[in-house]
Amino acid sequence: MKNGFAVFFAVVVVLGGSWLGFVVAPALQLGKAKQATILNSTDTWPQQRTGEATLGLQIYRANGCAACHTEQIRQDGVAAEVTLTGLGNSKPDDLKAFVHSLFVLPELAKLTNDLATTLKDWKGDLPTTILTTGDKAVADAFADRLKAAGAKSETRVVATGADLPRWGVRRSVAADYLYDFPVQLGGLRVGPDLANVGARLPDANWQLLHLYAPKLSVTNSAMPSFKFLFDVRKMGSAPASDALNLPPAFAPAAGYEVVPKLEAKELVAYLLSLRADAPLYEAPFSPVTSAKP
Amino acid sequence: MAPGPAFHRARRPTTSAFASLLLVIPLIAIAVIVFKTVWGANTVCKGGPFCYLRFGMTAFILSGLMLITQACPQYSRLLEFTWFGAAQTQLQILGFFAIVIFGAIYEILPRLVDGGLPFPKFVRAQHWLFMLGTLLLVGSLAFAGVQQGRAGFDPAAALPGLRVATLGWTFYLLGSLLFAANIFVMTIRWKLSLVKTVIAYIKSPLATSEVKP
Repeated sequence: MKNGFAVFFAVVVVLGGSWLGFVVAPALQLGKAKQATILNSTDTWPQQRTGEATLGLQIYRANGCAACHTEQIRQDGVAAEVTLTGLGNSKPDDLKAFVHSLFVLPELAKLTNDLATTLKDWKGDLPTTILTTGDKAVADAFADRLKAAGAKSETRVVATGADLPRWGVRRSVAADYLYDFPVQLGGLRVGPDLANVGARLPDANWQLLHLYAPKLSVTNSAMPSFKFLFDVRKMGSAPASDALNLPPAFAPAAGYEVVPKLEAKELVAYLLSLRADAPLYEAPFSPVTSAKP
Repeated sequence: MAPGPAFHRARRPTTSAFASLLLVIPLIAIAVIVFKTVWGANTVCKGGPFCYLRFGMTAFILSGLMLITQACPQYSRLLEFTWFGAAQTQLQILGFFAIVIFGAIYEILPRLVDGGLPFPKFVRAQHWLFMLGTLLLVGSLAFAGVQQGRAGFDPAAALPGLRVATLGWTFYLLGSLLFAANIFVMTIRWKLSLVKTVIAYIKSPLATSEVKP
């Protein structure tokens, strides 16, 4: 082999390059990650889970929940929003006519459809968001025009993405998983994303009922029933304090009651500990960037 | 964009998406080789192991294309976390790997045991069952993935696709049963023939030269 060394060198560069990029660099960047600070606060994020919730992670793992649920909220990008907060001296119809007159401007050409639809049914109620797409520069230019007409407005940068309105208030960041071992990111969404389920559905009783009979609260649920996490036992003189309050269609035979086992309680404690609802520097909630008085 | 190191998702297209797109180069190379060898061969496909290889290689190229599709940011926004990913995995595992291995077993095992297959017609039947099974399974899962992405992960949207996918799994089950029958009977025959050989050896009279006068 004439070029033996060259081939060896090329292989070392290719494999070493991927190893540096995919193993060493992330480890350097995130390996010693510490708690993040919540925006406009001195509190740290995330807090260590309770013991019950930490055990619940293992129940989550053992039952293969990550096969059908993800724990990551995606963000596609950002858009600038313009919210009208005051009309000044002009009437709503005057302002509408003024905005329509701006449609000839080349810098607003991309926004005309969006503006026309939002202003179509607007009766003059304030505050109202009249522009939801577009980048910061265009939104600022538009806000300047509104200011010139005497109207007050606020420009905000908001995160966009289909996941956000559905399941969360901000995207998932690496800090969210600081106390997860192993991290249950998941790769298939047969069911909803659970990154923020503790804030979305904070009722422990609802969670228990949903685990016992998924079709009870979500009629088209594809989730299997986790009945083996519950005990069906003969009722004493009175129902147990933690017995599920089931409707007749799902209830056991008369004289029997459904009581969650320890595993079910731990799993629910873990689910309720899944929250991504604190604004962080790298993933803020939509802040007001500038207000045009 | 999944939560991860910042430089992996610094700009669109992301680093990993770009790396996946680079896969197109080895994929084209493999496609050329397959086109020139497997598809260009003079061997006629009559349902034997050669057909298994031909189908498996085609499935491999298709699954590579599906992987690259998922790496494009504008498609991955729709298809990420849906059944489309499962469809790609199944095409790679069942459509390519399993079918090539089944073909190899049909080619090699009869020669090893020196007996021939007890039900040669099952080979062709299994090939057809696996082809239909792959088409139904992968096609319906991919369709379910697109529907799921469009409907915003509504569980009901993927349901029709998943039902057809179950039919695909049934075809795979039937094909595997045919394979099991073939291999089981062949193994039994082989073991019996071994026993027969031993018995024949024991029963055979000693050579006359060894009998002392």
